[in-house]
Amino acid sequence: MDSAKALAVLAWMTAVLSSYLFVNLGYFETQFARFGSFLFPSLF
Amino acid sequence: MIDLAVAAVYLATAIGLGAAALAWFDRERRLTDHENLLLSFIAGAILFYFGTFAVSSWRLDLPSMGGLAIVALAAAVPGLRRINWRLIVKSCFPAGEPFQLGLLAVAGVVVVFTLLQGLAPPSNYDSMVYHLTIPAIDVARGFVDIPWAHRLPQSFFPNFGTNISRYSLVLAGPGAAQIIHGFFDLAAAVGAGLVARRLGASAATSLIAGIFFLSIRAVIWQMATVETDPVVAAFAVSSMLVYLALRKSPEARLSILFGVVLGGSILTKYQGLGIALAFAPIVLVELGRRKRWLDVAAVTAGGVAVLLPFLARNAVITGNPVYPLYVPLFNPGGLDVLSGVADSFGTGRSVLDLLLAPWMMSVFPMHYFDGMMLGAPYLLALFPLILLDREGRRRWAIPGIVAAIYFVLWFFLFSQQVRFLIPVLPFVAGMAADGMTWAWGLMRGRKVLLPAFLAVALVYVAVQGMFIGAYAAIRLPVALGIMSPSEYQSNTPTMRLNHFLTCGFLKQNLRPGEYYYSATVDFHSFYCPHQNVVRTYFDDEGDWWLRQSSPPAISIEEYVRRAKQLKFRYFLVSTVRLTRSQNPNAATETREVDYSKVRFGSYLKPVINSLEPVFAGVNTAVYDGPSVIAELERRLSK
Repeated sequence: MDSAKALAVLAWMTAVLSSYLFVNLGYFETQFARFGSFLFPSLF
Repeated sequence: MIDLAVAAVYLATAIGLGAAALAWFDRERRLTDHENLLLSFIAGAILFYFGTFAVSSWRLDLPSMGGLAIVALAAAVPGLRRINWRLIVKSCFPAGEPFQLGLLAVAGVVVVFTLLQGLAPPSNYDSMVYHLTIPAIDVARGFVDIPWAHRLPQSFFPNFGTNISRYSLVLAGPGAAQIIHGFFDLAAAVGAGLVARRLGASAATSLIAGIFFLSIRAVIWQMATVETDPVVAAFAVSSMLVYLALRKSPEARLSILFGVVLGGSILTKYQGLGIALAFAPIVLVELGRRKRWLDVAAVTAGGVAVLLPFLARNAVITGNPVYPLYVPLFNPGGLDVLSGVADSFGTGRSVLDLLLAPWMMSVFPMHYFDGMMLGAPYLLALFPLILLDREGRRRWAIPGIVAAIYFVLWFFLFSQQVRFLIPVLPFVAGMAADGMTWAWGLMRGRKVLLPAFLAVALVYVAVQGMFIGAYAAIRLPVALGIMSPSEYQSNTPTMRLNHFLTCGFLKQNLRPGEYYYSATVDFHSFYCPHQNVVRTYFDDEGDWWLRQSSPPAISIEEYVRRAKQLKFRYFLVSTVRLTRSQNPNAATETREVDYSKVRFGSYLKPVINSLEPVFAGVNTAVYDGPSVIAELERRLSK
């Protein structure tokens, strides 16, 4: 029973995280470019 | 340095004043030493608010605020000696508990570095529009009054934070105001941990609860600003601590304190009304069940006592104690500045939207809400886990009910901005910490699942760590003097819309007695000179927005006559609009200025287009006043 619960918890946490990262990929891209060029001009 | 000193004096004063008050409110010592320290700060801050409120209406200058600070600090000394500092310090260095020590170290680093970011020059929108601008206008005037001609209905917003800013601007600068507001964010994080602890969570779980609240992206952002959402959270979580103590042993004095702290949340932001309403059912049921109606009256009396001066001032001036709420009801015909705001965010207001809102605001924050307020969705991932644990469900029932009622009120009645949920996020952070502890118990000892769990947790930590680190990387260099304010304000992406450069030009070049005209689209910045300015409306027509929804009609001829009479030396205008609002990728969009929304814009636009600015900033420019007036006259005489 506890194993099933543990698996369900892990699946839920992974689903939330992967959905978030997938949906907001464009956001992170914009932020990296925007602030990267400000903070580390030589790298971007 | 003066900012840090003024903030430190405020902290000591609030704790000392409050500790003396707590000796009366909590005579039976129902609160623990740590809770006593937190509540001392909160109660003392409210007492100090009254001092600022009373004195600044009469005088707002160095002698008045300096005198108030000295008298209040002297009065705070006996209270400071009542705090059990030995125990507080000892608990910060738990012997033989390396994990707790590590958590405290993490929290300490985040707190110190984020508080220090408060020394960065302010640039957030709300501070530029009113949080800091209204106090700055008052400081320039020398006493508190309504800046009618600036058309700022926010002057009637709850003013707990505004008075902190007034005190800070007189004695130091915006840095002090930002750091003091940061103390309240820290108080809310500490409160999150203390609520968890009072409910029976372990010391480590309680520390994680505090860290979870502190790490929320909007909390990190606001901790170095004068935004007030986490300040409401500090009051909300303190209310919960008093209520939990009260529930164990009801008594009139604690009931008054509970009312005072709830009142403080409303005194900070109208969203505090939601906190009071969220507590109402459980308080009425619990105290009613015990037939302690006198305690209910004591709670009400405490709240009313705190709010009365503020509500009375609003009622006397506007006829509406909660102006600018309910304008159609109290001020029929007046400008309803908040209309339309309620529907700007969210996916809708159906029951399905309500059920999906936690997912949508955590996973799709950029699409439907007010931006990346939470950061990585660790709260959503962890707080529901307590539902699977009987002990967790029992432990978090009361904070859970308060948070749920507030959430429903927020969903149906408020503007659905995620940051407005911050007041109840200390409770959600506590539930998430408890959920994580429970999950850890499930995973421990499992050869495959434990590494997988740690790997997923690590990604959450890494994403949230990036948000925390990004703010530090952006704001610390200027806060520590490594970068110039001018470079910071004009080059930092997304933080350049504060009119810093053009306002600086005006400050340098406007001579005593000279006037300028401000026709910027969004706001009149905190950084601009606040004396001898006509901000779109002239002094004699300033209070139109209280009675009517559109400004009084003035002919262009009359406008030019007034401009000549006041001999405007400069005109400050917007040149471009940069916006990132509800844009999934947060990409900046450049838009033309819509001059139809600027008073006399149709006349000013061709004039501005035909002249060269004497100074141009990022999105505003300064034009020579006599040239603008001459060109206006020339075009009128055609």
